[in-house]
Amino acid sequence: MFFMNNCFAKAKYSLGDTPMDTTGISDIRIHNGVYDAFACSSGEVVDSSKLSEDWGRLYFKCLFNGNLDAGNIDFDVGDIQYLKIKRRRVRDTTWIDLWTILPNQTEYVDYENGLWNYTRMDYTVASNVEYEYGLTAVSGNSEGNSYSNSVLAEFVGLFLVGREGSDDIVNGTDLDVKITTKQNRPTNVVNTLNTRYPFVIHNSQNRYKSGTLSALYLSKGQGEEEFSTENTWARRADIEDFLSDGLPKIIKYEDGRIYLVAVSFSEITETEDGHREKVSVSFDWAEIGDANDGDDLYNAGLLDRV
Amino acid sequence: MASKPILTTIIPFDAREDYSFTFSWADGLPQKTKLVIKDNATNAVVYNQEDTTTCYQYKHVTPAGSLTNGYSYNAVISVYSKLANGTYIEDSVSDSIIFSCYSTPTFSFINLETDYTIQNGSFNAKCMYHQPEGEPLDKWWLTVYDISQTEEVFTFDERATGGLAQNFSSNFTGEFTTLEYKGEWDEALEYSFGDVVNYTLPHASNFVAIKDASAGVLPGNADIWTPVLVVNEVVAGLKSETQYYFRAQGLTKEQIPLDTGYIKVSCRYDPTIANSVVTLTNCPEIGAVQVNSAFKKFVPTASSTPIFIDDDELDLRTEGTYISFSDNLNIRQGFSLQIYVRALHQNKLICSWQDGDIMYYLHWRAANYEGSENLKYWAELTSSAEPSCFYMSDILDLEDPECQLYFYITKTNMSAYGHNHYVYNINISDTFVAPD
Repeated sequence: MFFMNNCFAKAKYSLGDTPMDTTGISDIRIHNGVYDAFACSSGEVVDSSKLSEDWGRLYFKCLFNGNLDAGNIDFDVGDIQYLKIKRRRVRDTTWIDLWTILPNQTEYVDYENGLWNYTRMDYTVASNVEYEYGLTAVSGNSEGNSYSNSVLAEFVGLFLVGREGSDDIVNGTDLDVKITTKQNRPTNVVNTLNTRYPFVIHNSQNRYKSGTLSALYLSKGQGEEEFSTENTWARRADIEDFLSDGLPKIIKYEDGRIYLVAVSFSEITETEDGHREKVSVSFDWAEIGDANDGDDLYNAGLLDRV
Repeated sequence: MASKPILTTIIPFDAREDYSFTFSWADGLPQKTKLVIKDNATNAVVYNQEDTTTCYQYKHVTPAGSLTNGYSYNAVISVYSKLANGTYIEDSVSDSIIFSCYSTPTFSFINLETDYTIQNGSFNAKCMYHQPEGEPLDKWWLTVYDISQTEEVFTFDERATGGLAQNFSSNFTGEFTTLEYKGEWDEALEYSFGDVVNYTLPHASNFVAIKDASAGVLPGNADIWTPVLVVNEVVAGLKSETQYYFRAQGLTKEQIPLDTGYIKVSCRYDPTIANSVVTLTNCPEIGAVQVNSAFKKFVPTASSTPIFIDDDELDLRTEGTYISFSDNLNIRQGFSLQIYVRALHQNKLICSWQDGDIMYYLHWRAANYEGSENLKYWAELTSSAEPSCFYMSDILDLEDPECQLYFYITKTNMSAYGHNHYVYNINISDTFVAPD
């Protein structure tokens, strides 16, 4: 049948109904050609212009790179006891163990179809740093191959990060951010009677940064880039609660600075700058560890010990 | 009657350097020695010197350049005692021994250097052996150590080379400036000969030969081919994120020891290149990185030994061959297939799948439409059920019928009013983002 110059029902069974599936598709075969890739996904592919990377929906993907491997690992999912996720700065040698993930902590495990899926957020990254994440599956007390990938962490503004799992883990703003820092190295100058110059004594190993941080926190408005000036006192109250909970925090800024800190003085002050809704929150802080060191992050409670 | 001194067996040495002839003598310490060396072929004396500098020592040192590499010699040593009047008296003369002089062989890795990063779990380590006078390599062995150099993580037994290099024996003694090559080779590699020459020399699976082609620089040697032996061994089981030391050693036929030394390399490979296991997303709005992993095991089966093209494509053009994806597969809902394929057989089956008792067949069709000179191409989907379903792709004009195509086939659930109904859709494109 021609309709608007198109062959509308092109062949004998064009208008026939698709037979109903009964027990499900169990075998797919390819023939008669030179195949570069072949993939099968559940439902439609989000971006059908390229080969799917969405392993949450892929049944299999075969790239025929000298082998027929169509999954993305070389061991049985059912054998995995747990996963170990670690992180390091690219070109660094030391890994930080981030998480151990057990099957009941994943978003989706389907042993029958050999699938394991999880998502985690790493809030302890600095800006402008390329990180490498490694994943190792542990089965029967032996570790499998380490799979790794890298990403450039980038963000704008200032973030205050608390312990994972807390209600308000991360507080970000890029408004009126002012960070002043100083390097501390406690010393004593001992003046003597019989020499022209005094002694300078470093009685402790202390060597840390401290400073003052001030920023304007507004609530998110309707639009992507918009802020709301209504009820900013509530937002500030949340921030002040967060800062005064006595727990270690991470301060990180867009230029790459990252500090593992404690709020070092009891006052968290609000300063009005010409308008009652333009109020900056400021507080003093002192470094209590290395934000790039796994042990320090564990000790501060910002990472669970793996 | 004093006993004879005995010259120590001489491993071939490089005549361009000083060499110390050592000996033993049972009757005390010599106060002077005299060494006479003759060309073993002509018996012409090439060295006849006394040495008092090594008084009271069992050695005689020949200065660099006294002999010539590539020749065999015989040598005898005389020992002297000093009389009260200051004159020397010859006590006795040794028996003669035969030895050869050879340039120091080159034995080095050609595809490894310090701090090299191996990007795979296995590595084909290749060593080049070269000795200008044609002294053949007799055997070699390779050891891979862990970072502490204490544990051997890989080794293979001494491997005899069969003296392949002997075929090009010569007495070339100069240094290379420009090189030519001959032999059968399969890829270009950068060869380095000391600090004299860097020359891109095709590499052979066993050996190539090189010669000095810098006419006028070394007259007389322009047509002399000297052997380069390339030996290789595949090292498997290397772990990613690990450092190793590679060391190859060997012996020439005349027992000259060879050693590449310890070469520190790193091994780092990314098994996720093929199928990403760890997906990372920068989330600037919350200053975090999202880490997602989803992985599964899936092993299809082949009807016969699969044929791969350049480790990048699977060749199923042979009639009757196929790959079956059925490992625990059970798709009950809508699904999509993505196929990147080229060189499809016209009017043949491309893809088939089984849904319960019903088979579905996707064929690649080519035909002339009436009034058209060129073939038109399309794909059509039918089923084994009666009546069969019929789906057809758009009709394509292809300049190259063997060009790579991208098939995107979807089965979508269009159920409504309690009536289950699925619809297939077939899209074909010859312009697309190629998979990795």
